[in-house]
Amino acid sequence: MRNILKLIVVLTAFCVGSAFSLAFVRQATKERIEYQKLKILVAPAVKAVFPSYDNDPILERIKVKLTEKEIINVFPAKKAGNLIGIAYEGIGSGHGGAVEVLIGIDLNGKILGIKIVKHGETPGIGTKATESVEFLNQFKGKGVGSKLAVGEDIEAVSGATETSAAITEAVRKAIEIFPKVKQEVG
Amino acid sequence: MEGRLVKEFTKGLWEEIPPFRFVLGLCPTLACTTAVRDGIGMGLCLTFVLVCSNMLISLLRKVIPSQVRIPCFIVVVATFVIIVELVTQAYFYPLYMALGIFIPLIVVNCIPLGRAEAFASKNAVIYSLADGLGMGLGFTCSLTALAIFREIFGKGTLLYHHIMWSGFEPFAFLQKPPGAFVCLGLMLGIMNLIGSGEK
Repeated sequence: MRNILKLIVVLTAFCVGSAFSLAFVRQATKERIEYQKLKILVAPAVKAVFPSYDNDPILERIKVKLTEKEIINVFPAKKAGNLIGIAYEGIGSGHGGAVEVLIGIDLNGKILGIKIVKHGETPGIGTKATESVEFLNQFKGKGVGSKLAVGEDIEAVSGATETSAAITEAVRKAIEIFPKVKQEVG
Repeated sequence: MEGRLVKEFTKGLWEEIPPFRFVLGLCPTLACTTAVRDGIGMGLCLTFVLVCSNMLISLLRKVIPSQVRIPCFIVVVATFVIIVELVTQAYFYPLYMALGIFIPLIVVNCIPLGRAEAFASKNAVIYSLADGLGMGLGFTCSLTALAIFREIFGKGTLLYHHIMWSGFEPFAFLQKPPGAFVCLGLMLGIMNLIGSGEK
């Protein structure tokens, strides 16, 4: 009986020790890991949506709380220390799930550029819209106050209507929250 | 004491070099040797795990009851493996992407558990450290040797730099899993040939 107790105590102690050290390491590396992931996934898009900047928007990202549960990453682009624009993601629902679009906006709410970060659209069909520079460039210069609707001020890529609509939806949603995001970023 | 320390360290580098003499840890040996960087990275990850787990287990060898020693060893090894995984993810992300599932798989690779059972649970901390370091570096060297061969002839590069002449046609078979088996077989054969001459 005493022997069994000893086994239980030792094994429990090992597991507790392991759990504590892992919790500590995880806490210590959490920030870095998030940064590395964003750097691989989002950094190329950030580069594409701003004409020029000289800071590291990924490192200086700001977490903005939209509602209790919804928190988004906002990437500020700065030049010589002055904020020139912010970038964040909008999400639209496409044919193959969510289409995540990064939108670069200047401080007046004008779109500087957009770039698809992640999508599950059909290769060769939906991707005609996600890869079309001409289509994506339509959004440049639009912004707060624009309708952002397919058939009105945005022309869809023929054959990829659903994806075009999803991208437009993502941009529209992002523009809708712009006033709140700007207020939070200051 | 010093003589023994040197002996425990060097045995892992040649006499008992893990993948070739014990034929242990073959999963990463086959999978992580397509490029030299991956081979070295995998080797160093395993070395860290081996050194830490060997030292901790040796330190606690009098506390661990023999009936539950294997679960205790696994908990220790798994803890260090997860630490390695988190750290490579945070600081060496491209390496983490390349090694992927093979970092967590170090837990079930027999080298750390084997050394814990065969050595660290019976020897003092300092010898266990030497043993872990020797075994880990031996493993790293083995992986690097295989990776150098596979990367140069399979891709024509070394550490991602082109080193072969411009008309060189890479022998792509070496980059594929069957190529890994062939290389490993040749390596084992060479090692046995040299080993048989020593006797």
